[in-house]
Amino acid sequence: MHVVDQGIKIRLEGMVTLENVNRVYHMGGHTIHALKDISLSLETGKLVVVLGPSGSGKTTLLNVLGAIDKCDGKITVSNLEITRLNKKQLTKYRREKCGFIFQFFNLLPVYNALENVEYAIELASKLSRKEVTKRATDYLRKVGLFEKRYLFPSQLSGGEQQRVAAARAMAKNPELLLCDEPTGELSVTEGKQVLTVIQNMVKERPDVLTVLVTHNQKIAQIGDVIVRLRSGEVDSIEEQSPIPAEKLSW
Amino acid sequence: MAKTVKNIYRAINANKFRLLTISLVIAIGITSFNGMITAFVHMTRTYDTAFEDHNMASFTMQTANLGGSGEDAWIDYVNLTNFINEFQEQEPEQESLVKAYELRIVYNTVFEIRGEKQTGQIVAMSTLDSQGNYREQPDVNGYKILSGTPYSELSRYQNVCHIEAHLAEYWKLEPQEFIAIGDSRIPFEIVGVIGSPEFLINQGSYADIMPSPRRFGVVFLPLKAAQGLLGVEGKVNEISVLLEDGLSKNRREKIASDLKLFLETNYDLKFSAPIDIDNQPSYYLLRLDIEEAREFGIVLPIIILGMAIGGLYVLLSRMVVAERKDIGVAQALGYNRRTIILQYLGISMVIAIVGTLIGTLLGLWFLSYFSPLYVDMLSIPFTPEVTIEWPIVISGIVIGILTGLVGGYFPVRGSIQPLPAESLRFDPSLHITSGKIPLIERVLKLFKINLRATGLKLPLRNLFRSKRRTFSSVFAIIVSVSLISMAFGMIESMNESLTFYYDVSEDWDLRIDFSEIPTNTSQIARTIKQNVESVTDITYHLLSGAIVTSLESSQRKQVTVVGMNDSDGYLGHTFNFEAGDDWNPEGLVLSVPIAEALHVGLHDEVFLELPKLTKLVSTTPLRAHFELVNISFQITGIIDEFNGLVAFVGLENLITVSNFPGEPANTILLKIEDPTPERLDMIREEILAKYGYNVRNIATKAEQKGELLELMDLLYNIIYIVAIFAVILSCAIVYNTIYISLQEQQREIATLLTIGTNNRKLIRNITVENTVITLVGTVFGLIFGWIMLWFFMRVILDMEFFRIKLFISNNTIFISFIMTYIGVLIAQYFPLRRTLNLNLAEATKERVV
Repeated sequence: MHVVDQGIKIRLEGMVTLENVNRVYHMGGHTIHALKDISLSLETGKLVVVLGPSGSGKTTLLNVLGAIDKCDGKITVSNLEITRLNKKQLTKYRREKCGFIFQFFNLLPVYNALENVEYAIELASKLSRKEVTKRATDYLRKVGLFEKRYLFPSQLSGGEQQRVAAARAMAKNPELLLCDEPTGELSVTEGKQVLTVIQNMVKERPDVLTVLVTHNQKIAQIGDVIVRLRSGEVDSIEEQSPIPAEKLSW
Repeated sequence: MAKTVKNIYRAINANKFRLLTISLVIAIGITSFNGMITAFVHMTRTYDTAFEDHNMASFTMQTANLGGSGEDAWIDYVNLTNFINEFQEQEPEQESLVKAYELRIVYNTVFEIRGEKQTGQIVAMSTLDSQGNYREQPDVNGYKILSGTPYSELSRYQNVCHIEAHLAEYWKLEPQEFIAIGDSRIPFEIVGVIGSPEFLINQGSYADIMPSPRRFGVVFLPLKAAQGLLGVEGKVNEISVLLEDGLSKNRREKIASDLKLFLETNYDLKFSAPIDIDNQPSYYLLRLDIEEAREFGIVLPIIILGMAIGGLYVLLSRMVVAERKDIGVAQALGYNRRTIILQYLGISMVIAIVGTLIGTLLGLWFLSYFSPLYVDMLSIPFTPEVTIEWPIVISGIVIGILTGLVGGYFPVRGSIQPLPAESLRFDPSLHITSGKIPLIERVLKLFKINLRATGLKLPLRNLFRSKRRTFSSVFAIIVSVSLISMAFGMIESMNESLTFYYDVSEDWDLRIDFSEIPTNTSQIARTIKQNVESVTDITYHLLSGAIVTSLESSQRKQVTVVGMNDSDGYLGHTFNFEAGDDWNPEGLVLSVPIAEALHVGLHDEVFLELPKLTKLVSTTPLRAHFELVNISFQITGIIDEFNGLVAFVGLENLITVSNFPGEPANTILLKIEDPTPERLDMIREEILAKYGYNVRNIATKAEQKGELLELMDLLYNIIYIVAIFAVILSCAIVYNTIYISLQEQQREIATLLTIGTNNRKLIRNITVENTVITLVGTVFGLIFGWIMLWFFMRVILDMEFFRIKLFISNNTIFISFIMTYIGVLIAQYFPLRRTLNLNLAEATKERVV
């Protein structure tokens, strides 16, 4: 992990690098500088928690990493400069390299848990139907939802839905797992279950970089690295020993 | 209150385009309501005014042997005046009800206009009043002088005439020109062109399904001139009576029958049945026509506004579902149920008011176009006065607003939960998902067919995710397809019926109509066949008007009886039997409308009231005295053909029962080998050269069809207007529904894009879903389209004159589907384009709108 001071250019060597990334919104005559000259280098096998209050730019940072929002500057993921990609290439990037866990779960309501995971695998791989089902089943087992794999989102609790979302994100073997306030809509118990799933995935997959966005200091304790944002700027970056999610309380 | 208004404004602003489409549907409904109902009122008033201002006769009574000769054909003018006066004196009560009467001559004859023969009627009235003073207008059945001058004091001594407007327009005749009248071709100078309420529609009889000024023109003469022309000095053959206003039909008929009885009993006169104003052919047809416009004006808006209610219901249901959490928040904050309902009702009311205003303005514009178009097409010389009918405008506004209330209230009321918490917990995207695997997929699984999650499984699941959602989409398609197929079906049914009539039923290439009935027709036919090249078949018919009466129900119907000659197996007509299977010259073949009206079927007996010759005056031309006799016929066939008021009998049979001399016929039909227009023209010239003295008209089928099409122009125009409305409506409804459907899935679509689904796959899935909806909707839409077609053609536009076969072609099925499908693709394009260009970061977090 390389810490980069604002304004000072140093060599970036991580799996994900951001150089002078800026994001400016124009809303109703106001200009909001969501990200200001961010330069970062992030390595795989880590759970990076981006922490900050509302409006600090943490979700924007996640979005530009996931190529679902545009920005100025340069972002490189596994030597691929995503800020230079066209729309089609960005779709391919998201399909093959990114896994998303959204605050509102965003499962496909017409698909059951298994089919939701299968969908992502089918999109990103060329596996046979059998292999797709097997992998999806395995991931649902990992998140503790094997028994409920045929249930639809409407029949699952919020925590269960988010665990399905986690399985969907990981089952496609992404290089980058992006989690946007994954516990924002959940109770503490459900939230802990989801965070445990994420922590376990990080441990199992050293080749994946996981970025989790939260405003909750307690939740931030599960990360290997905490990137603190304030008003669109990196306030600090700290490495830490993560606390297991099940031991957290908030 | 201010907050509610603000919320309404915001909601409308956010959904303005979709809301506008519903407004448009309401606008079309109100336009048709205002336009057609007001047009009906204007036309009715215009005609009523024309009838009143010009003193149209309450009833007329003609001599029993009209057009013939002898005592039962003509009555002395002075005597008849005295008899009627006597009647009035003897029946003082009746006298007070008779405002005026007019003794006229009505006589069917031939005219020669610019060297061409023309048949028609002369109508003659005295130019003097009862005191012997000159008058410009008769007391009964007056007219409007459109060009030229009224008769002068000297006119009764001159050969001058007025010609009716339809005839003048057809021949482009103007005052100072001359026309020759009668067999002896006496020239008369035209002093004026007149519009007569008696001939608003240029129709000689009910049976004349193709009233054309070429076949029936009316010329008005001074009585004295007509008497001189016809050699009936001092005689008349018709009484026209004007009664006091406001008498019922029963009362009018009672007076007419009393007068008839009085004259026949006391003075041995013979009259045919009096004709009440309601049964006067032109008046009857006009009433029928504008009554249809009124029915159309009621039914069409009901259908359109029903669709608007459906559209509004779907739109607001979806909107309320999407905003249920906000409703929960509002309830939690203390807004009462009434305020929330008012807010959504406010939205529907704004939609309704906008639609109603647009509709009212469009209705007025439509009106100013429709009424003059109508009268112009019928060449009616009384232009309707286009005024704003406030009661109708206000009714339209009330109906429009009621549409908003009905369409808006129910979805909102049903969506507001008693507990705000229920609304707050609500997830709209889950609400529109049944959470079940559709049956079809389970069936496919039995056959080891497993659809891929990224394949067609998604559109399939979307189709079955919510019954309500799918139903509203299918409903929109049904509306669209049924409207388009109905509208095109109407046009096609007309075209198909005409095509069938002229291509199949009417089995001839050239038709010769004679002015006077020759009694040696078989000889004429033989000569033509021998001498005119290319004539392969020839036959002749005797056409006459008759009344057919059912023995069972005592119902009576006026028909054209065609006496068919069966020479060499060529009838000149191919029957399309609905009941019965072969032409039997001994029996009677009736059309479906007549059989239905009389409640008779195959093998039933009916009476045909036919003229029976009592005294032969001359054979060339055929002049004779007749009496009407009822002859019993057995129905041997019922035919489903375009001509609705027709009955066929064997010519020999007809001649026998009518006691006609020789072989009379008034129409000869020719079948020509290779009937090119040039050849037909050549043959026409040849026949005209040989038999021109007695030929009234020689027409090809194309010419006759053209005349009919011209006559039906108005109907076609109405149908085209309906078709345009249908297409606009369809687009609006389909666009709205598909748009909402996609908007509801916006977060899902954004999620799919975020996790890497490419645009192509996404568009494919949505297109597949909408294609299936369109296909399913098309099937039901065609069924509904057929029902609506039946309803409009058989109930609303039910005219016994024409029998329209209901027909929807494969082309129409295809066009209905394609037009709707294009509408669907356009409808899905805009929200899809928006979604595909969305900021995915926001869209994946956004609540469903």
